[in-house]
Amino acid sequence: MNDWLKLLPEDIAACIQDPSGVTEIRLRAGKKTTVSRGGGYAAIGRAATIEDVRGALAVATDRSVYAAETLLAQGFLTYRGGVRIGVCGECVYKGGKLSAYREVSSLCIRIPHEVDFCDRRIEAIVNRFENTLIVSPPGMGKTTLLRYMIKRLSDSGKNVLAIDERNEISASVDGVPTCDVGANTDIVLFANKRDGYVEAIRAMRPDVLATDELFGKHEVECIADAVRCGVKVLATAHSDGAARLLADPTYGALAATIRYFVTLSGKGVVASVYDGAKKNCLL
Amino acid sequence: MSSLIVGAALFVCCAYVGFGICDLYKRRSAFFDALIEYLDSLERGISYAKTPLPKLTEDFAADKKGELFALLRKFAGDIRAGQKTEFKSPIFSAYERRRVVEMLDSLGKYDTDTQLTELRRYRALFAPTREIAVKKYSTTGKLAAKLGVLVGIAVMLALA
Repeated sequence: MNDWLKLLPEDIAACIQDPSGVTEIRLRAGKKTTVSRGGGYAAIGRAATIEDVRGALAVATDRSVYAAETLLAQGFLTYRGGVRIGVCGECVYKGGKLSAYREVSSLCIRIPHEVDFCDRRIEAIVNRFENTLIVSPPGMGKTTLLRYMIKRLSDSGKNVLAIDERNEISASVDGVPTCDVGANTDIVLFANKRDGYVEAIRAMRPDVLATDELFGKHEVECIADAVRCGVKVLATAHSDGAARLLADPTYGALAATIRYFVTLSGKGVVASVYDGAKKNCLL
Repeated sequence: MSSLIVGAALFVCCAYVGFGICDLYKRRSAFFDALIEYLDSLERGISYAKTPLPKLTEDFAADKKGELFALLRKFAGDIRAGQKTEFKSPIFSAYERRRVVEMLDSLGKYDTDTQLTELRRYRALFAPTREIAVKKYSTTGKLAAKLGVLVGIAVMLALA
């Protein structure tokens, strides 16, 4: 519970009253730490130092930053309880490829919250599940809704295979999920979508394939491949609306694959659910 | 009879002091020897297998006796508890204790290249200290043990 407080220097952590409502913390060297509770940001405590940022990384990696280089090169780390830490700083390139961050100067610590989505449209989708895409700008709760739907589908008896590229969905520690992802969910950790789809679909024969943050043409094709194999898909994508997403040439192909487009308008607030087959919104 | 008992007691005291001084040098020598060995094992573990620091440290210190191994077991526990490790042994100077704590504090906080550079820097820092400690043990330490025994015998004979 609130393990993420250990990431912060003691005096800064002490400035956070009621940590349970915190959704995001920005720790930047030379700047005051800012805290969000789902709305704006409030500055707390003193200005953080590079040592504070280094200390947070050390705690997040169990004092083994060198062992987390592969993840760091992708710009993020995960910590207990599904906490996601985005990193930013001085990049090191090897063979033309980003291999590590030598000096991390900023951290974006995102704290997940389990939300009970009491929305009849979501219940309707879960009860008669068809390919679904959750769409919203960053920070609106896509992953939270994805996790919720995975759990509901899984607990309803469907075998769900979650491709958890960044360990954000399951927040696994030593291979065991720390977030509730349901009774019948299998997790493929840290695999890219192509490997996850090809290998895991073959090996695990899922009813539903779930994945976070579709990005680029290649991943859209992966989704189409999975659907062609007879697997239902639950995914998320960054965009400020389904119409805008489908108007993009890269993502337009999703219109032929996805039936329900769930758009979020705020933290955990479902704005609309568009039914691609009936060409209308669910009420 | 009583002078013989007093002589024997004084012999034991002198020898005890001599061996005590020798043991002190021995512990210092063993500490720095093991410290260099630890830094070398970290370099291997970090370069190739990228084994996490707590495991590397626990594996290195497992089932071994000595000041450094006890310190490293505590260090591994402190990492998991998110605490800073303290080192208070009186047989080391304040400077040496500070350097050891600094070295432990620097571990696991950097990318591989920077971490390896730091390890080599500390190895270079501790290597002369180890050499001096080993030399002092084999000269001063062993001499103190011998002297303790000899002084003890001399006192015993003088009282006889």
